[in-house]
Amino acid sequence: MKQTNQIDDLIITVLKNSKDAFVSGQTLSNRIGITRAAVWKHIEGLRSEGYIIVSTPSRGYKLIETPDRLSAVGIKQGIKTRVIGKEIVVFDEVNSTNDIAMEKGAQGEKEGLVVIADSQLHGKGRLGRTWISPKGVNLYVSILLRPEFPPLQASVLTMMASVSVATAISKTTGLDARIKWPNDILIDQKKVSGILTEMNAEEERIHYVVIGVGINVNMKKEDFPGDLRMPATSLMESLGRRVDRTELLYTLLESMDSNYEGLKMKGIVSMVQEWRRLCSTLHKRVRISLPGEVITGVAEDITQEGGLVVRIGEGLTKKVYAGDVTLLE
Amino acid sequence: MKESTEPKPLKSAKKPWVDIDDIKVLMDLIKETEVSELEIEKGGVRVRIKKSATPTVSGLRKIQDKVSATLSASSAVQSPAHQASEAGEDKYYTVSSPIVGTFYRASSPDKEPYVNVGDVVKKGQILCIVEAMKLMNEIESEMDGKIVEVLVQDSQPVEYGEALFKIDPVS
Repeated sequence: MKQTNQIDDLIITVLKNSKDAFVSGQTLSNRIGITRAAVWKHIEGLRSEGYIIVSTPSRGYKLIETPDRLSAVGIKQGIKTRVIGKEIVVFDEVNSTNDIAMEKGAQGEKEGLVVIADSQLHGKGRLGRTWISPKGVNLYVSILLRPEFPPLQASVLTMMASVSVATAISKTTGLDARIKWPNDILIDQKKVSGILTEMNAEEERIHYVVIGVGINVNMKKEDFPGDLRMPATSLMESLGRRVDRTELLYTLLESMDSNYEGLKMKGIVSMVQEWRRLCSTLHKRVRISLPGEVITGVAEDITQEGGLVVRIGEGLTKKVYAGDVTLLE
Repeated sequence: MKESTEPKPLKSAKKPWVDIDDIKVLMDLIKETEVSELEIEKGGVRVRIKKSATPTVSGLRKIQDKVSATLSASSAVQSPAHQASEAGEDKYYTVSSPIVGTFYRASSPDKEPYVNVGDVVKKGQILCIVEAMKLMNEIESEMDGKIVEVLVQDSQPVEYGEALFKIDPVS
């Protein structure tokens, strides 16, 4: 578990800010407070990680190309948010970004913290399932929040998260991303993103919530395992070209931030409306696997708590709050 | 499953069952005395006020929530076993579900349950998970104690306010 090197990030920031001009080794050394020899060493390190940096003895260094690397500094610079993303930590590899964010929550970290990893060894799904998390291609993001409403209303955060992910994908790629109840994100009926929210609460008070988002961004078709629970895709597979992970991440965090703000100002109803608009499950025939039973029917509506209202017979509806949904048409 | 589908505001802005001023008076009253807990009944509504060790800003709102929790719990259909245990074993603390959802005793189906009857638990220890809409809610013990009873079976739906565990607090 290695945190991305801060000096590397500072060097990249200075080089990026100078745009097309060269920056001398002395300037870098002064700005960052390390020796010129150390600057040279770090530049070598960055080159080995895929940065293309040209240098001439008389003029200094110039950044030509940035690899697709989730650097904390790049992320913070481009972000315009009020709460979410005020603090961002980036890891090369973790067991699970949700686990780290939950630990930070338990330690009293402020809300808005974002934990990002380039790869996960044990990406978490619901009930001990795994989220496939290879290196360098996808987004694995966990957000720590401390909402002030009671736990009973916390499921609105799941809606908020799925609305934000669908919106960010549509904005960045133009693809028609839809929500499958309660919070899978689909493109052409194939799963492109999963969300797992974990909460620590008392009866009347939420201590903290972690919203974990996994998005298949540039993963290739052949890299998906064969035994997935449902058809999956990545943005690249659906779009036919690579997608900039950092740009998608900015858009996601900004969307999440403005929806979180909206939730506080306007309440649940506005979020439910937005969720309905993006949901592809409503008015469809569905099969739902519940613990110990399977029901089929037409998904008619959702309740304010986010429950799915399923018509299972003449004049007979059932409200469902958990379970695996399969669309039948 | 819950029948109510009325819009719910984010913050508890429901019509108070007891006048908010009544609660304030009670709070002031309890503040000045050695009494740490007070329970009154008025017009079928029970209000319990507990003095916390560290006063919080959200104290009043918590009490409002508590009022609603008490109401909802008493209106829910309860199993006979649950009612019996409530009548006879007042010294036990009941852990209730903060949300409507599905009750899980372990983090995944192939894992051991978080707790079993007879286990000694610490304050802050995870007792179970209640899931609603893929929101996995870890329920912690609010005290040191011993698990006396597990009231719900694994993977069963639970209502808001439904009793999940009975804990014998360490005194």
